[in-house]
Amino acid sequence: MTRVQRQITLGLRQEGRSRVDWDGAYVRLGPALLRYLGRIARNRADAEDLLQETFERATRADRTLSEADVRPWLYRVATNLAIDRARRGQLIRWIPFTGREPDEGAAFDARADAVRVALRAIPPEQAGALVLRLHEGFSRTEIAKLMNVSERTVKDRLERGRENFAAAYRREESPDEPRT
Amino acid sequence: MNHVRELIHRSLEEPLGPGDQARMTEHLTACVSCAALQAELQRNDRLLGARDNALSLPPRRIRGRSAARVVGPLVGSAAVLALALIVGTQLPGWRIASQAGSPASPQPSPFGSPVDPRVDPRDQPAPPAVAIPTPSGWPGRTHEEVALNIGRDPFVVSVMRELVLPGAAGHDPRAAGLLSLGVPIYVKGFNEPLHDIWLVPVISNAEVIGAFSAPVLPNGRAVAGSYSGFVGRFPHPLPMADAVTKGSVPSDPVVLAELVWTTLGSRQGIANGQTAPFWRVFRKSGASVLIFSDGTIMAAQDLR
Repeated sequence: MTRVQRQITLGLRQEGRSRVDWDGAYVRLGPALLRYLGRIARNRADAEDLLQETFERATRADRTLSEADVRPWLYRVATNLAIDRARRGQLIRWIPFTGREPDEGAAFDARADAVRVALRAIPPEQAGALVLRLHEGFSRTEIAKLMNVSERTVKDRLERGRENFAAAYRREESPDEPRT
Repeated sequence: MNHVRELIHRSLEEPLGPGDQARMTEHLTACVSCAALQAELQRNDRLLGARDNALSLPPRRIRGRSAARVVGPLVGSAAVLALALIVGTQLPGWRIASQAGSPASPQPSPFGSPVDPRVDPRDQPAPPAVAIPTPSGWPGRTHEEVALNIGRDPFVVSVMRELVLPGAAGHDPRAAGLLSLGVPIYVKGFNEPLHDIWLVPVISNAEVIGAFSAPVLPNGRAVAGSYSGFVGRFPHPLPMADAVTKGSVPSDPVVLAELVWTTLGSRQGIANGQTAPFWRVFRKSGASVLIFSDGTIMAAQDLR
């Protein structure tokens, strides 16, 4: 099926489930997904790479989804990839990342930068849950589905994530204070 | 986790029942450390929920396919930002929507993006479900909305047709093949009453050849208002990191940098009366300075 045919098909069948126009989804949802990944990934390049991998997987899977399911499904794939990569990163000890690379496409904001650094300092499952909840607006039920865990686990991740983030952000705010 | 701590966490997620709320309030009025914890967690939730600035979307990577054709309206930041802004003296100046032969009645463009102006509209791909442009514009609050809608703006469609049409008033010899619209860049108005604008680059053969300017109206809608041919690094000759460095002094580093626009005089390295974005950086002390495309630095209060 050509791209044109796919777009036409989608245009006519938006109510129900249909083959997804991933090109269109990339344009529509890619920027927000990149922002999300930019918060939880190790750096900007990693976030871009995860975004690409997310859409490559989406294209390969060639799923039939309703329009409303496309966004959560992409976040699910992206979150799993990000957490998986972060775990592997911890195991093989990447060269330390400062988390302070400036981003050409966005205004520089020291506070937002500190938030990103603090997020990267806490376990990736907790960072993912926090960003999905507070930045992307998913409910706890939706996050449970996205992360394939129980709601109780999501609740725990949010609580522990808030505590750990607070400690990490405090260190960012006052880097000279001794780390506990 | 003690009981009050648990209540504090729960209160961040959902309203507490009257009994729990009263217990927590009573404790917080007497316990400074718990009150501080609650304030800190609430502040952190706001920080985590704050919208980041839009990151520019890279071209979609498709194994075995040409990404540039697939991505359509968005061209990657790496390619786009490596290219340069503009303001060419031999290039057409800003063209205003009302002068550009846009359709008298604002019919929705039949084009999705990318727009190939040489192709009969009936042969163009069916558009995705997006807002129909009207005289009052299209939804333009977010990067995503702009990317989705600007390619269907009648003014944009008409300018892009002219760009590739030899002999047309707006023809640009650099415009060849499939034109794409690049990543929208948000640029603030320098001061009242200037609107904030989206700058959307036009790409031909991986080169930025011009940019549309789309003011954002108070109701959150945007409309393409002008077009200018560009040469140089887009959207500013100085990368943001360099602007941060240039605007910092040892005792007073830059903590915020943003692109702003106004109509500038010739001394800022831009043809007199041209409009172009420049950096406004804020130092830790609150002082703000402007950095123009020729590298000139000026205190913000000196620009009138």
